[in-house]
Amino acid sequence: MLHDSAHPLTNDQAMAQVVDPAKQIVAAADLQGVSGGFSFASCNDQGDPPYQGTVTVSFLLRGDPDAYFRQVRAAMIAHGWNDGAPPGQHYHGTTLNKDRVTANMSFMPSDHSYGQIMLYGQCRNTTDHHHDGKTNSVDITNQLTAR
Amino acid sequence: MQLRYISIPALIAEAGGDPWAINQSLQGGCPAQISDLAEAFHAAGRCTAEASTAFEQARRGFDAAWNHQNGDHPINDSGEVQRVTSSLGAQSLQLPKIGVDLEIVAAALAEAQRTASGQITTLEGRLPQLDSEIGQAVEMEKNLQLSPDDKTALDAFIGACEQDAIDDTKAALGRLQSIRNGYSDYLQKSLANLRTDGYDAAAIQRLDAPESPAKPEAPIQIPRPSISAEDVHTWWMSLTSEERQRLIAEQPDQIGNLNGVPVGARSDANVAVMMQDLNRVRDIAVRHGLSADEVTRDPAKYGLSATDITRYQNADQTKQGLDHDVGNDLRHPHPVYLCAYDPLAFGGEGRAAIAIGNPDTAKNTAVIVPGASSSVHGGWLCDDHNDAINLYAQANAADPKNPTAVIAWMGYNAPNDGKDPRIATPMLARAGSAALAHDVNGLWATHLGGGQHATVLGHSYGATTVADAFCLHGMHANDAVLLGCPGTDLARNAASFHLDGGHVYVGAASTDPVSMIGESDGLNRYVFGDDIGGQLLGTDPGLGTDPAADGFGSIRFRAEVHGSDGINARHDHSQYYAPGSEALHSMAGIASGHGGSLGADGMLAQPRHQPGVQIKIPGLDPVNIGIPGTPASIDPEWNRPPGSITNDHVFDAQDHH
Repeated sequence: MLHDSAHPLTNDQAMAQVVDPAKQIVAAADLQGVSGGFSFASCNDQGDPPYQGTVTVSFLLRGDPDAYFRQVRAAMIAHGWNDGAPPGQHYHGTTLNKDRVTANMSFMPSDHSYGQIMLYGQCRNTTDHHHDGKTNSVDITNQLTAR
Repeated sequence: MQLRYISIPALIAEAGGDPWAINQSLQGGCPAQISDLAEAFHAAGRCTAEASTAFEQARRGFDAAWNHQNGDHPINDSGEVQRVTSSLGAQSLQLPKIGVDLEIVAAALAEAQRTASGQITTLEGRLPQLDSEIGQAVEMEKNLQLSPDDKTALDAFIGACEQDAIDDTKAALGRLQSIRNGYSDYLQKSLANLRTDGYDAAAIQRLDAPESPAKPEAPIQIPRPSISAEDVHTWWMSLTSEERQRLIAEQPDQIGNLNGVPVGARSDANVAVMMQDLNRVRDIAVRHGLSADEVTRDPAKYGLSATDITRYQNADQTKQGLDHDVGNDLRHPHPVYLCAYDPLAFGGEGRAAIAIGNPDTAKNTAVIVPGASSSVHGGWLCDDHNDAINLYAQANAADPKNPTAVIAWMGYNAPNDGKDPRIATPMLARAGSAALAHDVNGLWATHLGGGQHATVLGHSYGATTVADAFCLHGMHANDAVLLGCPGTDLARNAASFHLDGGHVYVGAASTDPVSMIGESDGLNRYVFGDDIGGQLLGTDPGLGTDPAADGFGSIRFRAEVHGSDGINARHDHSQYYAPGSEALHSMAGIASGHGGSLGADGMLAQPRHQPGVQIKIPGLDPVNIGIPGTPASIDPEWNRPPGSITNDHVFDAQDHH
């Protein structure tokens, strides 16, 4: 169902589409100092449907940052992620994709002792989130770090 | 004093001043110590009978007023007396005169303190009484048996109690202001006398009431908004830290919107005003056990004006914008700043700007200017508009070592929507472009460190506004980005932008019809060509040239919309900031100072050109000959192979809404 873009995703499905891989990445790469949040994001500049699920995972950079980013990328590839953006998409920063989800990794802009992975799901959630508050973040740190 | 229903900050706001603060400043003075000093001078000098009588009289005045428990601090006055004695001569007749004048100051201060604290005691006796009466009425209102008439009567009673509290506070404020002014006059006269006596009153300044005007506490003049941001910055830097804090506290609405004041200070001031606008309504809601929305639906009932409600609504939108822009990870929020805040601007549509990252310290700053239908009131700063947050993430990923701050600038009165006739004329773009240029030029005045790089990005009608800011108002930025631009109004080509080595970059999806409006500019000029007045005022239809067309002198980057299969105004005009899009990738490169890499990244698009005839001459490349007088209606981006623009992320059905 997740691969079938002719059908919309429910809120829960759109959330699971990015939160589940975020949890897997945290475990696979053994990320430390982890925190993160989830929100729905409009896929256009009008704030209108459709929406995609987005997750940000922050983690401490250990040792040389560039070497550490390579290490995290290798751990993700070992867990089934494809190197690079999905075909036709363009991101700055280290980018991987898996099951139509894009993972974009870089420094946390405000604190370079941390890295961040932003996960973008498919634009298939058609619920109107204009006034339900779900486009502001909810903390999912506990879910990310539960082992 | 514990109040349950009456808010002290709201009372202060309604009264137009803070009686408690005035009292506190008066109580900060130390009359007993000034009196002790007076006594020491009196004792040190050779007293004439006249001086003795005057001193005794002043001392009686002081004793009558002085009732403080902390009057028993013996001042170590011998050092001060010895200093003055040695400079004036021990036998000087001046010494007892100094004693008399000091004693007069002490008496005036003690009297001011006594009456001021009396006023506050009276007010603080009255407010809990009113608060309790309101409380009883609120309890009674919870009784479901009440008839509508009873309820109206109770509401009127609550309203009257609230008005009484405001009136009492206003009255106390007036009396305290009068007490403080009276004391200040006395002090000025005495200090003048002391200077004549040969005594420099610096020693008593630390004992005097902190806000007396005898100290260098004259109101700080804020520069007129018409002076340059550089001059404002020079002025701001000349102030002490205390003076800056005082200005932020006392005149936040002015400091928050003054170009040349650093972003951090402006944000502090603007957030203070915004919170005041929110709490004015929230406090009343809490007091009545209602939601804020319920209060805003019937403002008059709660003593609120239409202005209070506009302020509240725009503060609410702005606060939500600040909350949204901190990003997904609440444990590591993006630093956000409220660079501008004027909730009553543009007939209540509001004016505000939010920065993600600090533009004063970031190497790169990008200013995002939105198009028609955007306003603070309409929710452009929040309501899941992700332009700024997406550009911030990608620009900082593009060059983490040279950070980029992004400003979401809702600083002009944009046309309302497609039905607003002003959308077809450049009038509002020209008006807004002056404010945009002023704000962007101000960024250079407060930026710390060299090598700043500024990019101004306009979308739709906002792109027209950006073009006019460069062309008409000398906006200073390195690069311009025009997205889905319906025309560049008075900027006829890239040279009109007067960029200092930078470029006019254009993002125009081949399926975005708004970006093609400029192609009909020749027609507008044909129809309205003789209406010089209308053209000058910007009231004629027609927004100018298409900057994506051949000959404009722009650099066009790829900005196609994934999943698009034809011209689609609603959808394809609104995708430029989408994560993963060609346009966002290109803009992040430009904003982070790497516009030169677009070619290497395969992100350059050819300009639109006129339809023409291709002539093949053996031995030479084919040559296209345009047909004179026709618009540049051929878009080479139409010929892109479909696989180069993904539709992976788009739900197909939404193309049809």
